[in-house]
Amino acid sequence: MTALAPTRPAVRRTLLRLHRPALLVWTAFVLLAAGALLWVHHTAAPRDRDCARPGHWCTYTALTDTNNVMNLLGEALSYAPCAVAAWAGAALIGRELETGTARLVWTQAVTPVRWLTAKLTTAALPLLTGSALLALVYGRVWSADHDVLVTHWTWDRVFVPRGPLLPALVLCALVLGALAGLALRRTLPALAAACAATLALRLYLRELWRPLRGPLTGFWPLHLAATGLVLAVAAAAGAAAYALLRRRAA
Amino acid sequence: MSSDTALRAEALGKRFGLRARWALRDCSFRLPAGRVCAVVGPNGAGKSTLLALAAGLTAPTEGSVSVLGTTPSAARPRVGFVAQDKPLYPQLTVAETLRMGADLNPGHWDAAGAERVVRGGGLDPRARVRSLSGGQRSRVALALALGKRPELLLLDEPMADLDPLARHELMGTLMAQAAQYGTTIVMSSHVVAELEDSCDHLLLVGDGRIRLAGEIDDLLAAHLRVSGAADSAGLGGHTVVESRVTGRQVSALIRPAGPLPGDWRSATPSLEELVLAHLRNPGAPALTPAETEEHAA
Repeated sequence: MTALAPTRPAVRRTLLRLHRPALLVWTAFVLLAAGALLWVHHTAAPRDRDCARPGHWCTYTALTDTNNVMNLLGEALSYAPCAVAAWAGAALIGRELETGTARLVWTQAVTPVRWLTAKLTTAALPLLTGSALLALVYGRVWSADHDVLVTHWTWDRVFVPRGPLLPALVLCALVLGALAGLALRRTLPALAAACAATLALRLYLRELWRPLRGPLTGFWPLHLAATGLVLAVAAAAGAAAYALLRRRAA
Repeated sequence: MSSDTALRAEALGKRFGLRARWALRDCSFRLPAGRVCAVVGPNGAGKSTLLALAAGLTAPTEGSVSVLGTTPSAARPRVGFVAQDKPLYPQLTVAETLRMGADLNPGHWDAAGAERVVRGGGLDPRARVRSLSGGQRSRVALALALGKRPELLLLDEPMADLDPLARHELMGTLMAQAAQYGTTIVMSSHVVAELEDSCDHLLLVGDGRIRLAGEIDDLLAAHLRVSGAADSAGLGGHTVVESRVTGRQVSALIRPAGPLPGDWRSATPSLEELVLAHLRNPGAPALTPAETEEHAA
């Protein structure tokens, strides 16, 4: 028998089998949110422009009000990272350590470090793709239909989902969840800690860009500064997670 | 490190947290390859810690452990491990669990062998793990460990939640594996009788230290159960592990250093007597290969 296996373990296939329900939920969320944004752009906004012309009028409900829908989508997108953090802390990492299934995987031909890397990359791929797509669509729709929306770019529900800050927050939430799971090693405490940390980051950011509005003017400089800050937090949390794992497991 | 050594510990110690009690301390032994080794000791003695260190699940606080001539981490693909609580993914089916084993152990997965172990228990491959009984879960966990064709198999209390019939069947499966592939098996238990028939090597762990280590036959041969009148010639010169006075009668378990005076009756102790005598008397000196070598030197 050789000391090294001829091929690398197919960790990703195993992870996809384990986290299929989460992948389906995320896909459904992305499709629903993108669908609602396209509806705003192609149906609701043109209707509102028609209504605004003299002599025209139309009726709508709370659920078909353009601004209602757009506000709701903005809030849902800017708080989605908290849900990602809760899932990563609880289901992705915390539960595995609590029930011992992490040790089951570590005693196959998979080292703990490769296990964590596979978990993070397998989760990051759909999360980043989906959130980048949503940020792109949100940004396009918001800019194109600005004339019928009662909104301003400094508002959180516009500022967060309008550019790369959204995927950066989602990535940061994933890593914070992994860190909480590794540190606490239990499902519910990890869920609570990861969710709280992401929420704090999300709310603290808002306080952060206020003083920045002096030197940095306009949406993009501020947005990119915030994105960079969130990515730095994600990198620090990732380094801490790997250091913790290396210290715990041989 | 020669490859005929399955497991070697040198001054191995593990403490969880800076101020905690040592779970394992100053632990040195060598287990030759191809043995079936019993790790025996009371609950909390350090058996699980020892196996987790060998499986590379936790890093030693001091000393070192080498597995199949290399580090526990490098030996990972060649070592099978079943933890005490038999963790498995409850949402997977039995067949999916085995497919996971194939995915995570490429190049050395014995699909037919793993399936044989599962079918041996009459398990439906489509059953979800969460619907299985304790004994059935043990069987799946064992199939996963055996499927990777390990050179060293570490089992932590493998028989704890099995009924006598399942215990007998699983032990048979294990022994067949050991015989067919020359697998070294290390299994822990706090019940000596459970392991006596199938094991040829013993590690007795008590209070975080190795008390006895070696071939069971050698260990038994190194000890004598003796009895005699209370006024017989003393046992000075011999190592007395345990001695008890009942009325005018003295009975003792000793490590003889030479021939005994004629008025003592002596017999070979059973493994259980040997183990219990050492556990009841924590002050008795340990007998491990390291010390045997020192004596020989």
